[in-house]
Amino acid sequence: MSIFSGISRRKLLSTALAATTAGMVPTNLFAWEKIPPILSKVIPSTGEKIPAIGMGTWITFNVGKNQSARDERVRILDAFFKYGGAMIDSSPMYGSAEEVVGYCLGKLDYKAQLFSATKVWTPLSFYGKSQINSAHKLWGVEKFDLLQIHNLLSWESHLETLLQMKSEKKLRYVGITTSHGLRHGEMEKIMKTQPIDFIQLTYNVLDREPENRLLPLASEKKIAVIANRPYQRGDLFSQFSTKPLPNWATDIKCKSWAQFFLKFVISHPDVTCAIPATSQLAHMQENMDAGLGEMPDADIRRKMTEYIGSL
Amino acid sequence: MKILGHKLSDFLMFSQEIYRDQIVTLNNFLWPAQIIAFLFSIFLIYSLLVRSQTVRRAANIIYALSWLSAGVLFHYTAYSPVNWLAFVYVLFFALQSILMLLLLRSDLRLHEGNLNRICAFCLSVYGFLLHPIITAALYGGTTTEIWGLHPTPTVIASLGLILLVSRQAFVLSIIPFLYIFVECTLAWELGLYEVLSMAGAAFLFFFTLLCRKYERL
Repeated sequence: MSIFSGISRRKLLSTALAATTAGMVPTNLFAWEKIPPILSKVIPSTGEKIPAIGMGTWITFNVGKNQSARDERVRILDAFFKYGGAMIDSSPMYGSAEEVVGYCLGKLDYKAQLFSATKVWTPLSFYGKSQINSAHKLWGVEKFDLLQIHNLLSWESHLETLLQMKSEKKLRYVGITTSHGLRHGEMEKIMKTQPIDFIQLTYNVLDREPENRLLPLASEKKIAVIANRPYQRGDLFSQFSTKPLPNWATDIKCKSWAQFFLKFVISHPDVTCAIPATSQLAHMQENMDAGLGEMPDADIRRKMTEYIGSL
Repeated sequence: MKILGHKLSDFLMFSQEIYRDQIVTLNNFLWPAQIIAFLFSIFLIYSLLVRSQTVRRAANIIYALSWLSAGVLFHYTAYSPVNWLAFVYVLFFALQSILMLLLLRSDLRLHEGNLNRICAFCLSVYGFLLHPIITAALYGGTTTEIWGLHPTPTVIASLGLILLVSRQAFVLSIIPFLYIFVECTLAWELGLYEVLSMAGAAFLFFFTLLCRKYERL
């Protein structure tokens, strides 16, 4: 049984951080230069590699003008990039998140490393371009790496705009998104008929429905997959954090449930990147750690789902 | 409970901490307007005790404008940066303000009936005095929610007025009830339990109206 069994993620991390601050453990435990590169995966349409752990911004970066919260997000993004992270995903739907991401990027110097991903989210087709222009200003980037159609809203007209932008080299990749397991039928139809580079959907150890059709189809059509809600918005922790990790979790370098859940997601051969969101530096470090070390193979992935099912 | 395949918590786009921070930011920005709002509160409590039509007319206008001020100051200035839906709230608060200005013009007498008056006073005193005290005590002075500047005390105090003077209580309570339903649902998910006082106010309001309807007062 793991020594971390029965200890909650928050408690474990706060204890570790407290110990570090108190000088009980070497302070270079989190020294960035000692961190090996995290797992990278290939974007099938181009062969470009990106780190398999990105960052979502839903709720966590919607902090308005709260200066202390903004400063904390700067530290979180700094840690994310120092760990080798690249993809930041946001949306105009997320309140002030895009503006706060732009503020943080302006305070840091990682634009070359950044893989910027945001969304178009409006039922008004004529407003799409204006929203994209606004996003450029909010992020402080001249060109997005990835623009996605949020929840497939008015996707026909927005897709035309995005594909046009891509052909004019104003955009590198085009994608579509869903979440919560909704509108998979429509997503499948678009994947079969449209030249998209990315899909984004909810995939985690409890929500594995995409394994049936969408992930195999993504592989067949050479479409990259971003997995949102890898922790089912924290529900996985509520449900399992008091339960012990299996003994064999150490074989795949899982020290915590967060790493267990994330490794499950990014080890799927058809998943390109997972985008957990966090407002805590310690959680960011823990998330990025999941991209290090052994990844579960098909057998271990099966054991993971069986173990979760047994709890 | 699920709506269109989503849990209620899926609709929350900010944290409890950030919600409270909007109140702190607004209070710092508006200070010392809170004192003026509080003085208006005292006048409005006084207006519920006297039978002067001039006082009643002035009070009704102030009550109506409090919806506009809470809508613009809180929802537009403070809330809209973290919640794009806040613009819808601003519109509804402005609409309620107009409705109150129009419908309370000729409602210059207080309703009779002990239960009616007691409930109306309870709602008013809670909105004007207790809610600010409770929020200050729970979360600190800068998080105090004041009538006319923040929605929760404004809505509750207005329900008291509507009970006491309005002949069209049903029409005037539609927007407050819609707002209470939406906000209390989200507040429950966020753990903003002081906002749930609006649900208690709505229950008291509805109960009193029912009693009045069946002439039990």
